[in-house]
Amino acid sequence: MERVSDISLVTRVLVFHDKRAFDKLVKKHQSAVRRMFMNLTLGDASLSDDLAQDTFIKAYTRLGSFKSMSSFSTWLHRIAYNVFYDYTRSHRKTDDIDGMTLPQATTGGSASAALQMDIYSALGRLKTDERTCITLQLVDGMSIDDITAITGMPAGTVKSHLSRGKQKLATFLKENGYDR
Amino acid sequence: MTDNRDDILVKKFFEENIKEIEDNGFSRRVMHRLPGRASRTNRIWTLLCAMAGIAVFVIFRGWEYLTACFYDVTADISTTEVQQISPVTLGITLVVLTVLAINSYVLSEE
Repeated sequence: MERVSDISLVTRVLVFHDKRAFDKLVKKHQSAVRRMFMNLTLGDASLSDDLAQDTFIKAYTRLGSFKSMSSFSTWLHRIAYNVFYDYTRSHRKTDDIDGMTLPQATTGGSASAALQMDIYSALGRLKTDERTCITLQLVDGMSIDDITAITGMPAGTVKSHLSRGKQKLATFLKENGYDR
Repeated sequence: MTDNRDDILVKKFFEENIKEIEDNGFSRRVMHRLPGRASRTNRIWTLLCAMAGIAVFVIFRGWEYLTACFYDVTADISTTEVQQISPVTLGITLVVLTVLAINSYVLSEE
């Protein structure tokens, strides 16, 4: 039903140039896309918003290429993935791009802020590809096939990244007392 | 067994910490940046120029000049020896023009 809803909104945008329909798509998917970038950038809210905006603008200009072979969400995440990798390639430093550092800690000593920092601390232990696969599966609920479609990585590679990523995360969580 | 426990631990950790992100004007910023503002501007500008052109045409009685040009052209044609153009030549010309037009259309579609 949700997929039909997305397809009907896409159709309205393409056929009737209905920008309000695209606005609905943005509102519906903005949280997932921005959250993905927050996880990939280890909590850089400003950068995440910029990348997310670029993603939706690219999606708007390329909407005609959406063939509904996959869900709109998967298609959108693929664009987001490419936007992120274009950004990392253009901002690549001589040191390892996987060694992204956490942005400055946000103020406030609330429990939720501490938990958010822990998520990014945990994700910061992973390589970029591992972080991507883990985020897509455990945060966005994507299947292996979806992750393969989004990243272009073979299914075996995705599974390897997930396995190693989960091992590292489990180690981190145990070290920090999350082993319940 | 340990792997399963680790998987469960990690999965539970993320399930407890997934948060929806409030829009807070994000979609408005996206809509504001969408392309199409420029093309709308272009359309408006084209419309204004077209209206200006029509206004100039009407003010300076452009149809009188067009009529005069038409009569000049037809007068020139009638004075040439049109009889020398055979139907075959005319037919070949039409076929060539048609092929060129189709080819041009196909190329533009590609």
